[in-house]
Amino acid sequence: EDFMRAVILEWDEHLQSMKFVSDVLMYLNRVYVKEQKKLLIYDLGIELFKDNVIKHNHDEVGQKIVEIVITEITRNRRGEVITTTMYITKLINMLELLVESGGSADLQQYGENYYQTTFEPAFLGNSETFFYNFSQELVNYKLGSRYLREAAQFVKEEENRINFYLPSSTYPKLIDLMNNIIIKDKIDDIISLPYEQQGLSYWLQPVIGNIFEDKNDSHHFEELRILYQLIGRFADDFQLLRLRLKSNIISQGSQLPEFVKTSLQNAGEKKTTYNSTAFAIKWIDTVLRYREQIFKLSLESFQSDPIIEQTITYAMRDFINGNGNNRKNSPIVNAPELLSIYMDYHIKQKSKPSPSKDVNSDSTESIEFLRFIKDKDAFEANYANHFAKRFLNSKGTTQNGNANNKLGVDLEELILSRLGEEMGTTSLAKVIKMNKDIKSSKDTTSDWRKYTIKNQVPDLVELELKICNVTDWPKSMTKDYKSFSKSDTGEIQFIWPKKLRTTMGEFEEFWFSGKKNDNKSLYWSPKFGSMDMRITYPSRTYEINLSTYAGIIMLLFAPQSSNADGSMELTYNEIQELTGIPEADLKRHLQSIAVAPRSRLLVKSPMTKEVNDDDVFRLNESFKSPSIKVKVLTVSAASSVAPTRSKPKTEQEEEAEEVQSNIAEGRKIEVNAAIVRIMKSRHTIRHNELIEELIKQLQNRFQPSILLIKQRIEDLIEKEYLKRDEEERNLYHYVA
Amino acid sequence: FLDSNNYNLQRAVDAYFNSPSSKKSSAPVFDKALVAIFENYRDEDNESQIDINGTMQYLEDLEIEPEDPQSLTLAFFLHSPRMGVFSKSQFLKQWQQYGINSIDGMKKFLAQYHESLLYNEENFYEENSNLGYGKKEPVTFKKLYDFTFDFLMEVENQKLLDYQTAIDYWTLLLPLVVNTAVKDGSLQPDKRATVESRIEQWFEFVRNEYKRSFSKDSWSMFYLFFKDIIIKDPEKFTDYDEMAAWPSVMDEYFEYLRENELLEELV
Repeated sequence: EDFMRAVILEWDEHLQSMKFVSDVLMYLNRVYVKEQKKLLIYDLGIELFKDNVIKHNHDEVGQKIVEIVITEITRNRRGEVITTTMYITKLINMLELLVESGGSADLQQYGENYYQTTFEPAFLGNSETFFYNFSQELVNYKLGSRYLREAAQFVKEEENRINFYLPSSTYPKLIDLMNNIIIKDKIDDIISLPYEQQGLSYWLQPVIGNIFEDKNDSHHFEELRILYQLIGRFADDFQLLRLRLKSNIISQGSQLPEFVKTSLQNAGEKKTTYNSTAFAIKWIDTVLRYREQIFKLSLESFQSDPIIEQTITYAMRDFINGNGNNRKNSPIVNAPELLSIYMDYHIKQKSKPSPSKDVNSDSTESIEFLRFIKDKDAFEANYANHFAKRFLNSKGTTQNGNANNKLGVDLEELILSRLGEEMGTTSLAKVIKMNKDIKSSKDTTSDWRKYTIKNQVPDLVELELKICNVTDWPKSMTKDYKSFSKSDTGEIQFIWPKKLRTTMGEFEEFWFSGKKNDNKSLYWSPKFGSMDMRITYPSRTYEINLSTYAGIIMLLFAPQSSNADGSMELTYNEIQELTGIPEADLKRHLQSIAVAPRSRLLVKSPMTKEVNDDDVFRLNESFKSPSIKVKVLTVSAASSVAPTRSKPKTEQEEEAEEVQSNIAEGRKIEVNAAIVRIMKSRHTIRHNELIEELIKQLQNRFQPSILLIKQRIEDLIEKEYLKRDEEERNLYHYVA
Repeated sequence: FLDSNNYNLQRAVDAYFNSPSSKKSSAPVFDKALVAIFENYRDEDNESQIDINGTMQYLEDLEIEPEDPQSLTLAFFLHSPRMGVFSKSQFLKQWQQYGINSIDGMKKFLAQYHESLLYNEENFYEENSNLGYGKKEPVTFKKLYDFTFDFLMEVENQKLLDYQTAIDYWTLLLPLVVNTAVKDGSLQPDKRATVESRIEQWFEFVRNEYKRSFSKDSWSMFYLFFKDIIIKDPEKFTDYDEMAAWPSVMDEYFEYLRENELLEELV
């Protein structure tokens, strides 16, 4: 300190006297110096000072100054308070003024000064070691959060320090050095620290924790913000952060199904499969909440940086579609199907009398989710399936103009139009046509009602129509539509009860009387729909709503259809003979009306859960129910199959499989069409270009696998649409 | 001809060359001895072809076993439309072309022709209508290989070859390819055993995993796959690229090898 003070004093005095000398010799300065191109007196004085004081005795004083200044700054960096601030500034100023290589007068302002030649390199070298040691020390704590905080703190202080002491030319150099050593070289290690040492996975943990444990862990916004800022110091595109963030999100996302499963199990759900409704709803809710959380985080910590949000979106898309890193394992969750189930559930909820939540927000959420799904065609197929079921199984309510049902239909339409916006209307053509069918069914129903009133046809059953164009509805439902027709080849035919036959005959007459139905054929399908019946039991008369099949079974027991008194009995085989209902369906519906505890309309003996061929059924005389209206729920296909009989697949699984194979079939056609389209315009194309082009064209619908594409190419070669070049095996020609 | 074509010279010339009588007059006169040989084996019910019985007899006289690859070469040389059948026109035309009219000559010629094919010496030329009228190109083993597929088609419009037959004929053909490769130096003799075990693994894969029929494209590409990938580096398949245009069955084969750890891992 004393040394510094002495040097500065000397320097000041020297400057002062030089000024006087310069003033006195002003004339000399103006004339002689200019003519001779010598240094100005003042500058000459500084030169002399440098040579005789600072550099005297092999730079002794100069070295000492440099050494002292650096030591002082280092002390300051360590957080010690130093008193020499003023001196440091002054000394550095002085060093800057000491022009090195005092050549001619023109050069002097560009010439290097002592600061640049001697002080700066020494200082930078020293800083490097310091930064290195400093960061190493921090890393050794093995605590990510701590590293971040301290590094950020240090960086801030250092910036101030540099601003204060050092000339602006050094600033960028030093900052660069600091960024490289403290941040760039270390930050990846820090981010990748395991959870216990508070790496990125630790900072992101609350995102999941908040969803499942319902406690509001505070997010590590602070750390992440620092992280963002630190990384932003040296890389504008946040490459590293994005990379690590992505892998973290994917690994978190891939855990979600497990979490969902366990949380469902804790909630008392016994059997949870990866495609049950409960799972679908919970999973999608979870994912949506996850998204919400992570974007909140992005807002708080990453200033909603678009590049980072894009990364987040990609990462989420990856885990939702289940193709993170292991492309071989098929994803455990089938996102398109689950989303469809989810939407199905919500639409059903909405159409019930208690319209609680906001419909709009819900469908928005669904659409948001849809954006993540890559295989849109799979979603469409599933959605169409659910849509059809909703319609066919919906209870007839038009006669009382039920507002709820109207809401349901509006809801369908609303969602349909939103889906249309998202995916384009062509891909939804089938669902839209189905929707049209529904409308025309309504019209036909009301026309029919007018017709019956006008014609006063006696003895008719009230009818609500659901007419579907076979081609537009999912195959799994329409495949056997003909088997119920009368004109079939005479295999197991379905026998409509007499009561209904009159009505049906009358309707057929009505149907074909209009001109518009000339070229359509009409098939009745008892598989869907429901009936309202009034059954008088000894205790009371009930209005019962039940499925068509069950209704037809009940009609067998109605007094009108038998000669005997009320106590008639029928065996299983007799029922089957009288109705012609396929075995699996018949057993299922018999279980619904004879085994299910709340709707035991019939009595079955022996009273077992399973329906056997020689079981006997009769009307349950002691049937009781608290309300007049009774709704018979059909036993689900899965549970109607007794566990002891190890039937390989339940009906649901079969249906899911069918949907899957439909999707696969559809894809084949789409790929073929796309190949032909490309070949038509290109005529000759290389294998890799073709694949690239195909993926580009199809990615809005689904992600075609290379294998699928190759098989399609082979298929087209076989069908002679394409030809492989005779010489060049990677080249295809279009065969017109 | 001018009369009948209203003195339109162009049409008259066309008519002249197209008329059946002119063809007959320009048709080559076949060597009597050659025709006699044909008649010797000819089908009793059909005078324009030799059927399976005749073929068996013919092969016997040529001292070729039916399992000998040379029988395939013969079928290829005579453009046999399918197994055990030779047509009269091709039979006469092909032998006449080389001026051969004796069983002995045929025997010698066939041996030469077979050698030439095997080692792709390109000593013999065939017309190829795809290249233009009268253009000729050398006969190569690949041609014989591709011909085999068509030759094995039994019914009209058959497009697939069932895998058992395919394996039978590979058993016949692939060793020839291996021999050639050893001879021309593209395969080190000490790697021969590896290639042979690859063939076995291919058969196992086709028999137990793939179990489907082969299209002409897959059949034809397998020869290239065998030559360019398997023979080139039987241990590691270095040149294999799953992004290349190999038919999917080869990709599946590669996967099969990898899953069963039959492949030396690429470094």
